[in-house]
Formats: sequence, structure tokens, C-alpha cells
Amino acid sequence: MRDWSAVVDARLAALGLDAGREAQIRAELAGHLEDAYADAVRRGCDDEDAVARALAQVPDWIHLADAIRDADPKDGPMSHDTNTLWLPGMAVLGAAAALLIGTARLLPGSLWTDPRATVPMQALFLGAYLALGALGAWWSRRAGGAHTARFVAGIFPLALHLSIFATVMVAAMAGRIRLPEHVQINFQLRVALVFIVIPGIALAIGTLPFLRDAATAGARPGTGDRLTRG
Amino acid sequence: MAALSHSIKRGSAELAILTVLKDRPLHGYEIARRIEQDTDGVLHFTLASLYPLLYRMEKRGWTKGAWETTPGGVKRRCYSLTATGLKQLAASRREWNVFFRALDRLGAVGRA
Repeated sequence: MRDWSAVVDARLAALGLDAGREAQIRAELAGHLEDAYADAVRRGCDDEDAVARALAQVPDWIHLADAIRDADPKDGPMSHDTNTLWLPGMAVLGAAAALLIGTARLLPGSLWTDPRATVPMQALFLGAYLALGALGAWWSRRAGGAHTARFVAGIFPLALHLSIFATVMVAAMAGRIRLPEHVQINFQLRVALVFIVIPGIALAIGTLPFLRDAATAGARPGTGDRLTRG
Repeated sequence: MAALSHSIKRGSAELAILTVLKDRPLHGYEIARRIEQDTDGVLHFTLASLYPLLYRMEKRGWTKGAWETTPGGVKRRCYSLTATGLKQLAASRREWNVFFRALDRLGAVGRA
């Protein structure tokens, strides 16, 4: 007896639907493959050929997952974009805001200006941003997010940084933050580097392990791997 | 032209599914087999082409799926036509008749 459910689970990425509906769809697709296999055997195909014919029903499992997500009738109360982009994105953005506010309030003020604390502080923030990028991308992938959604969800905290940066720059230009003219450009570039570019790179690096498809990783379509031969 | 081609493909696939479901409820594999047999293999559905379409049609309320145990003792999700689906079938048939008559007229012009 072949385990066609295992075949589907190995190849079809998470659809991001509610658990019951997702299980129904997987069972339905597994049933179709089982019928296609049995039909091929009835027509005289040997086992290997019948498996190949059944698997040929789906040339591209990623495309199939996308098509089902677009078409499924039970998408739940939240849309696919909400589940795969906005929810994980806003969660990591909130975590980044909590980190910034928390460190600003809890750590002693002298630590920010102490040169000996620069490296540990940078390491703390870079580590945290790597983790936040990873969390956003992992969450999105788990909800069935496409590669773009996973990446954008991971780098969502950058929106917070950009808004703070824009506010500071507007305040500087309006003269509320007074800086000598010769350090203005230098100051802006430095703030952009420290507050936008470096955190952005850390977040982006954090997303990288989760841009790979977990469900299809290791499965080689068309080879009949992971089949339980009976 | 690509959009028209896509629309024609989807429209004809939907009509084919609605037509075979008019007689009795069928599960996905049976739908694909019936269409292939009844059209002498001209129309051919794979799993990948069939299920997104079935789910979309269910979302529109044209069909309704329910798990049933087949005579072979296995559980399959069978689709049946709803009242909305029956209306859609009639409307689709009318549209396709108009379309084919138009093509026929074009053919007649070409032969004249």
C-alpha cells in the first residue's frame, strides 16, 4: 500500500489555510494520485511506470499550491496576504519597536556614549535583527507565503527605521535639530548607514534560510522518493 | 489574444465540468476520466489543472463538495451541481452556442 498522503505532504508547500481545510485538500489530492496510480496499473503499467504516471499529474507543485491558494473557497477570516505578510511583518515590527524602546529605557544612558560598549551594543542589535528577520520569514513560510512575502515580512522592521529616519531628517531640515552645516551631509549619511543600511542587511540575512521551501526541500519530484512500497 | 485564449480555456473547462456533473455527483478523478472519455481525449485534465478550477467553482457556489465512501470502500470528495451551477451551465451553453455559431458564420464567409 502506497502512502500517497506522504507524497503530497512531501511536495505541496503549506497552503496557509485553516488546518481542517488544508488536511481535506491534501487528502483529496492524495486520493486523486491513488486513483491515477491504480488506473495506470489496471491499464497494464508496471509499478514504476504507474508511479511516474501518477506523479506526472503535477508538473509543478509550487505552481499548484499558488493556484489552490488563489482559488480555495475556505480562506478563513483573514486573507492570504494578511496571514503571510501583514501578520508576521507587523509582529516583527512590533518586536523591533519593543527592542528599541526597551533598550532606550532600560539601559543606562551612559552606555550609549561609552566607547567600550559600542561593540557589544552593535552585536546585540545585529543579533536581534538577524533573529527578527528570520522570525518574520519563518512565520510567513509557515503560513504558506511566497518567497517575496517571506522576504518582505522579514525586513518589515525597516519600515520603522525609515519612518524614524525620515522624521529626524525632516526635523533637521526644519532646524529643530541644529547641526553645523559642514557636518550635516556627513551626519545624514552616517545615520542612514547605521540606522537603515546595517539593520536592513541584518534583517535580510536573517530571512535567507527561510526563503527555501521547507515542504519540498529534499523531495525530488518524479523519482518516487518517500513512497512506502507495499 | 493571450487573455482571450486563457478565458476560452477556462470557460470551456468549466463548461465541461458542469456538464459531467449534471448527471450525477463525481469525485475529482472521475470528473477528469469522464471528460477525457466523453471527448475522446480532446479535453484532458490533470490533478494540477483540475483542482484549482474545482475549488474556484465551489467558491462561486456552482458546485458543492462532500466526502463520500465509494463502492470500493475509499473516501473521496464528490462534487454535485447546485441550483446556481445549473443556471450557470445553461448560461454557459448559450454563450458557447453563440460563440460557435459566430465561428461557423466566419467559416461560411471564408468558404464563399
